[in-house]
Amino acid sequence: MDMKQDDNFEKIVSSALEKQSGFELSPDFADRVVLMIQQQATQKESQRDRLWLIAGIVTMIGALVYTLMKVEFIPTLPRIEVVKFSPGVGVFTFLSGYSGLVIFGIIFVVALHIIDKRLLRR
Amino acid sequence: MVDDRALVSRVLSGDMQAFRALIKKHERLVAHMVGRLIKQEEDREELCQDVFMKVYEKLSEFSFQSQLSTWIATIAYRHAINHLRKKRIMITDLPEHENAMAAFVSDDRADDLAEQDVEVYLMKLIDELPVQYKLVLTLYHLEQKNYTEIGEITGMPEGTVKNYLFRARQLLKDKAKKYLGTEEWT
Repeated sequence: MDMKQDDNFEKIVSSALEKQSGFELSPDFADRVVLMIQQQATQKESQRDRLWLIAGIVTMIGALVYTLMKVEFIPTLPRIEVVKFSPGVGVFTFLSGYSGLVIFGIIFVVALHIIDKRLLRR
Repeated sequence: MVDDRALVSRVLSGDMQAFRALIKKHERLVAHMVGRLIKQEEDREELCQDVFMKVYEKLSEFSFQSQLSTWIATIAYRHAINHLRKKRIMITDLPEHENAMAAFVSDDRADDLAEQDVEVYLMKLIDELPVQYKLVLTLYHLEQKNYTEIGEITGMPEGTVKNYLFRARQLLKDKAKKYLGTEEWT
């Protein structure tokens, strides 16, 4: 082959190589790689936060144990008293003298709900 | 076209648009490298992604002692070779004898493709070449890399690169000549 043939050969080989590779990346390839990198960075950051949280909890437990040892704290079991259960309205007994207030309270709460659902959420 | 130095410095300062531009600029090179070495289509794009992730991770270590494209191609080559090793896929060793080399491309192909043009025939021949030959040819012809750069990318001595390139081209020329018979390149 002479020089001219060599040149043609080079061109044909290059062209054949270009076509033969048969593998092209998708058009959004760069976007996907960038997205993956950003996701990885976020994951790393949340992992770091989690580590700090765990370190904080461990330190707090350590400090608690140290303090308890320092003050020679001895835990004692609380005495359990058996209380006889009797049904009743308990602490709400006082409301029996304020029926007007109870009715007003109910109307007020219902009105708040209506205002919230009908007006505010729209 | 944005200068590589400017692009790298923008990426290092956290500009992801610059990294997107860097990918766009070099994705063809990485696709060629991975495409030549990896046959499994399902693995190719994922490997290319890994290559650019690695590029992003190591970019601060790049000191411009070579071209950015050469450095990226080196990462792509090593990544693809590691992938082949993990999957226990052997790269065919290159035979030393010319006769053995010729065996990669059987003679009867020319008859099969008698009606088709030279380029199609060459595409078939290239496909049958050993991986290292294809890679060296691709880097030289498509990416316009010189012997030193190809050596840097593949870790081959410069002499071996020259030898592979010469043999691959010679093989293609011989086969093409046979195919063309008395015809000349047009």
